[in-house]
Amino acid sequence: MSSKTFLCKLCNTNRSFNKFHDYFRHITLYHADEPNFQLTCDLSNSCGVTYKKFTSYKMHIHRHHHFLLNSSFNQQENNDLDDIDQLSIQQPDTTSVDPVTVDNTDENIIYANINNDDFANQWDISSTNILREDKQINLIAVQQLYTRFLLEMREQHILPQTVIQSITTYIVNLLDIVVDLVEEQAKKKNTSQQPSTAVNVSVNDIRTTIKDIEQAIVFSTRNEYQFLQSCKKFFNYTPPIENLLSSNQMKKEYSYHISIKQSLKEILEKGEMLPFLIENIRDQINATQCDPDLIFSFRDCIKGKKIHKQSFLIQLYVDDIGVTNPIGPKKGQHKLTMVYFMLEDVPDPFRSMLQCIHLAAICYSKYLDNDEKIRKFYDPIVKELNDLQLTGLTINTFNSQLLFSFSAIAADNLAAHSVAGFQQTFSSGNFCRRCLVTYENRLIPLTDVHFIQRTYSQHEKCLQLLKNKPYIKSVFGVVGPSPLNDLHNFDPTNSFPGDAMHDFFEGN
Amino acid sequence: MAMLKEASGLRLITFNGIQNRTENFVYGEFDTSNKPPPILVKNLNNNYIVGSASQKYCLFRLFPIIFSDLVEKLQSFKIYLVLRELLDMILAFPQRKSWLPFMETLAINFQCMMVDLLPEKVTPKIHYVTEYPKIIEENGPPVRFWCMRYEGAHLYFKQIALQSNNFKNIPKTLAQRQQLRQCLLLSNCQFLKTSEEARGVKQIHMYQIDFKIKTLLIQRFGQQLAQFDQTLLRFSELIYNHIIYKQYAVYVYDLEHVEDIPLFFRILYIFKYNQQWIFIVDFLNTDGFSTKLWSYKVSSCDRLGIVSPNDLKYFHKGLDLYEVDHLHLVNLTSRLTKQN
Repeated sequence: MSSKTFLCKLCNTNRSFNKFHDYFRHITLYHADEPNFQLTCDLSNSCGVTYKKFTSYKMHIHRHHHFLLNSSFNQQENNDLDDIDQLSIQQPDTTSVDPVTVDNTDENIIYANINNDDFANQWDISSTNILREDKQINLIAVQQLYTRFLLEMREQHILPQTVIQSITTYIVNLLDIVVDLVEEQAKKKNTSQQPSTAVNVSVNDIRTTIKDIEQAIVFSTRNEYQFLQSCKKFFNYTPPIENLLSSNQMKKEYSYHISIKQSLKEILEKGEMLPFLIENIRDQINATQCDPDLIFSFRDCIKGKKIHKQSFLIQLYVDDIGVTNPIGPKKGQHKLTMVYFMLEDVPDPFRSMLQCIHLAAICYSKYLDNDEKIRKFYDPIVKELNDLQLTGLTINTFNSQLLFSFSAIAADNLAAHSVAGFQQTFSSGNFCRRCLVTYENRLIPLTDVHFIQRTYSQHEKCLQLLKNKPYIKSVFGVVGPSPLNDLHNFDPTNSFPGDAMHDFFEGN
Repeated sequence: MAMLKEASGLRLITFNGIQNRTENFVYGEFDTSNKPPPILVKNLNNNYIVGSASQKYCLFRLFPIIFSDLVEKLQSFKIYLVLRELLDMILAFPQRKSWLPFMETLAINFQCMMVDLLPEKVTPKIHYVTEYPKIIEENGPPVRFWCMRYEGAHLYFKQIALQSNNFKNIPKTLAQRQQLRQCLLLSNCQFLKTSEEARGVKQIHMYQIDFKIKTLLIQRFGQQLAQFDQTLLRFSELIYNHIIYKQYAVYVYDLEHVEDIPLFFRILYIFKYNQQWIFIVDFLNTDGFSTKLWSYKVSSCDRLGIVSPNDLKYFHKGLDLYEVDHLHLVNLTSRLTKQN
């Protein structure tokens, strides 16, 4: 291979290189971000494809001519490890994961400059210390730490995947430079004072360790799949459950569920959660025992009397949100139906925190267009909640069974009506889900009339009537059975309390 | 809520006047985060007030203060007062069962007045308002199940959907990201953390402190504080147990027993001494309740005291002090009640 020389066609001066990796590095450093990048691969006879983008060229090289890069590494590495040429082998390696951005390559050049400089600066001593510490931990720990770091980057600061990749690249680059620095420093020491200090870490060792670390880092974050895998491994990541809604094979319509049981379990296994919850409930019970006039929560009310005293309350929330895609062929609004759940007994200082709200299910609203699909969408939730209410949950840190009970569904009026199976218009007929008021009657002062409350049995009768006479669209505003009917403690006329926010503050 | 604007638009003030007034009103420290956008002439013509739920609530609360000279002349202000009283009770936490019959009458009263005075504004929502006493009886305080925070959670998903710029299968992306986020939150050592956070730090010397406060501090913490060069850390804001304490803000510290009249104090200084938070407070006299402005009249009488954040029990949110006609007013957000 070394017999052949590589000529750079992009340079005006026709620079030539003896080794392919030098050539490749040169391309990466100087030509990657050129606007009119055009390169024909002429490494072997079968090639000859012209690439207009560096990324695709790089991909091609790595796919088809990887041995060229690799072999040159090996040669180098076997030859002499303390050689200055060492600096250069690292470069192609790092660029192999390089998403080519302008500043990235710029940065590379800067780094290269630093490397070539004769530096006698101060910050390398501290870095060696860190490296020595690094050596003692095993690679898995490094990988875990790194995944955690990326997770934080992505989920807390909400960065896109591409940024993550460039972070990886930078870190790998940084490590490379650190190694080079160490090496340089070591060499200097060697020349100045021959018998060095007692603790002596060979540059080779450092190099291999760093190499391993780099590999681990790159491997764990090479793509989305690898990242998810490492999250699974270290942080107990559970992917959302895919649920097929459509019955016909033609078009696959999925909804996504997250197991309520699983998330509850994970949260409650955090040490401080359970004591918090139990203490909060106990405080409230004590307060109401002293003063039975007070209302703190669902437990102190008529409906709450029926539930088990020791159980935690779970609240559901259903709503549609619209996400707008400003550009592209899929332009327009995407409506999503979201189902959240929340533990009601979280103590007051934390209740308002958004992380107390957990996702239960998510789906495109347009998929939920017939009864069967709606049923399929809500079925897993119902099943899980019933299970939680009947058998409870056992977790490792607490020795007895934890019981849960479903309290209510929070939703705005439209969502509540659609889930409960009431009419979805508010400008005619029986528009209230709690009583039998009609649109025309709303103008009668309440001192003169009293509207009959909807009850469970009355609602059942309406449903029966609808079932028997399919040609009737709605009876007293009832249009169909609710998909949550099988849920224990659920009553369509009663489980949807009004929402103070929407009733008082929204609209005019 | 918009009906009030219209009623006032009928006479007394022009649309431009309303716009000016809402534009120039100085909201208090705590209310600025929910500062409603000014009501524009355009909005008044369209009968629609822009703003989010919390902004509208803020406007609703401060309405009599903003338009303090007009409200008494308005007919529809009666409705406002009834609704305000009802809302104060509905949003209260904890609530009392003994309030329920009164709320029922208020709700009926409100509905009748609406039908009477503004029949074209009787939307289904008015009907829903009348159902709250029953809902509370069955389900407990509405703030426990209102959508405010859930809607806040939407923001996260919307942000992600836009950020990822991937609109192929949004449900999957969102569910996955949510799970990843869950991983992150659970990998933190504590899921729910109480934190202390302070802002606006300044170091001050004892000799800079007012004489009265100095004597107070010396009484409590002994003579070593009296030294000339002793320094204290002073803060302008403290977040303790998720409650924000701000300098010059007003807090409720107790309730007068029978009538549930709140007693207020105003924080003058926040100090930290020996790892302890100290508030130098000015206990305010509650002079009375102004129905017209639906707020408590308070006055200062120079009773200073030292309070630590752990002593506060009742109503934790900071309140703003407004001044109308040389009266200092505190506008409460909901009715408070004391445990026996």
